[in-house]
Amino acid sequence: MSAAVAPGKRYVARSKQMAARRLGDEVMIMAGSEATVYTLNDVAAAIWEEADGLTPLDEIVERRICRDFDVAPEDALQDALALVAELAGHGVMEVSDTPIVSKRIPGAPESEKGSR
Amino acid sequence: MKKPKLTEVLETPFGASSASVAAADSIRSNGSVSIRAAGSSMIPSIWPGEILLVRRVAIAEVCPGEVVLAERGGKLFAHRVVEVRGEGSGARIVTQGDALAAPDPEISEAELLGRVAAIARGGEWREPKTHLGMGARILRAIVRRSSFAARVLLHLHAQRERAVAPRPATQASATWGS
Amino acid sequence: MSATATFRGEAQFDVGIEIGGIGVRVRTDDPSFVCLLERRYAGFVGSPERAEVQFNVNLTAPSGIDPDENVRVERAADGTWSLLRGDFRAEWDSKIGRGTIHQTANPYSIDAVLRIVHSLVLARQGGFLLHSASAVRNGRAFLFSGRSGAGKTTISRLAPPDATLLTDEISYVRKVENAAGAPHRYIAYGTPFTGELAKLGENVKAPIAALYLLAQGPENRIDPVSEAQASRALLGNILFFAKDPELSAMVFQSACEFVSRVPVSRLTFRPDASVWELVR
Repeated sequence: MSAAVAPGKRYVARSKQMAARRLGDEVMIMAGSEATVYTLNDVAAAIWEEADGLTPLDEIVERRICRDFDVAPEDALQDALALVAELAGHGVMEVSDTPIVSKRIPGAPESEKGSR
Repeated sequence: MKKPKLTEVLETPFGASSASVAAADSIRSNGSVSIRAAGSSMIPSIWPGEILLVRRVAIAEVCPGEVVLAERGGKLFAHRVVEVRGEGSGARIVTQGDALAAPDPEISEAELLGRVAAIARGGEWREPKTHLGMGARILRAIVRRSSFAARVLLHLHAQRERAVAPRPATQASATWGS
Repeated sequence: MSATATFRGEAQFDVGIEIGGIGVRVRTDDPSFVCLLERRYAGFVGSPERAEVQFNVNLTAPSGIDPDENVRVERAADGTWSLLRGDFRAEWDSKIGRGTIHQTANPYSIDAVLRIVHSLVLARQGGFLLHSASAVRNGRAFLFSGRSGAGKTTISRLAPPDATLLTDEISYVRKVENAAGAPHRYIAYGTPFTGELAKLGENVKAPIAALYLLAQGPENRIDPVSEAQASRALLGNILFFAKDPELSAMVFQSACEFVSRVPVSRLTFRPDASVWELVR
């Protein structure tokens, strides 16, 4: 599928090869067979959950981060770009200039409502 | 003034499988660690499965006869010091497994993790001997020459281990690291 | 020990080692090695016929006595596992439950193989092995987790007479599925895997009431931890050796599931028996 690409747009998608779980405000991710677990704080977890491959990153930031966390768009986008680059480096996220269309992007992480 | 980052990614290890890394980190940050000997390179002084209490030590404080723990290439080994070359932090030590025929390559200060302060045996801690008695020296000589003898010794030791009942647990007051 | 004759006319000797309700039959042609295992695992020796896992042990001479190495556990394309460390080599087909171990007459080698195999079996069932001491008190199991030096052996030594020690080093956790709709629970089993205490745990089991993350301090206290903190601590102390994405993901989910069902807290304690007043 080809899509009109606006200049400077970034698209992000959760990787297929990983396990993730939401625990309270945080999301924990384990990628493939790595011996490392990544914990995302609340802002990072929000970006992660919106990363469906079709929504540009700046829209995710404006719609979800700025609204829920009351931060300025420029600051949030800078941090978001750094975050997705870091997660891509760990192999848990894909970043592209064009929409990432995949037959199956894993759903948002499982959530435990906490029966403790 | 730099604004705090909004996003944060925390990395933590999964699985307790990397014993070498954990042990090295632990001794460097806490000053001591207890680890389990897996191999047979130090029989008859240290048997596979025995737990060693290792304390951090500077290379300048190491003496021949002591057993030290070192890390090389991601692997840990606890062997006996046979020679100390040089002085101060630039010193190098030569180690050799009691059961091995040849010494190891020199160890630098960076590779040295600590000195084996005690071995858990029969439910209590014992200091490793720096000088082997006659009997132990004979056993060592035999094991260095014969892998069959090493096998027999391992077998006998394992039988003896279960025949000796450990002493009852000690009193309520205890100290950390033991 | 039981003995059977093979078609070659050589006698084979069996011993069954049952841990966590999972039996392993160890078969070898050396009766003295079997006697050695029966003594080492006393209290955990069961009927070899009931075992769902079988290992043939091929005893070898020590070869160039290697320095200690980390173990490698890998799954081949055909699904069989290979376990490799300086002191042993083993293959295991988890589908049929059979395998072979090549090692010297060193019980610590087979000890390591048993821990690895149990961790692989538990991974598929939502359970795991954990670096922790555990004990039963008032019919409930309490786990005390921490790496080397955290105080697992110390708290085990300080246990009162009415506490039954399951292990001072490696706890065995199984998930029990209940009827549909009912929450499942976790059971801790005694193990023969000992730490500095050098004392086998009791071969009993009990439902897990709590997991405590150990810390040392001037006074005894229990502090809450978040689910994410609990998960991280658990994942850092789980014994899991296989470089396998599918199983690793299952263990990850099991750990997260566990902390959502079992209370996890930080237990700071002084090195004296008063800490056990908090553990009931």
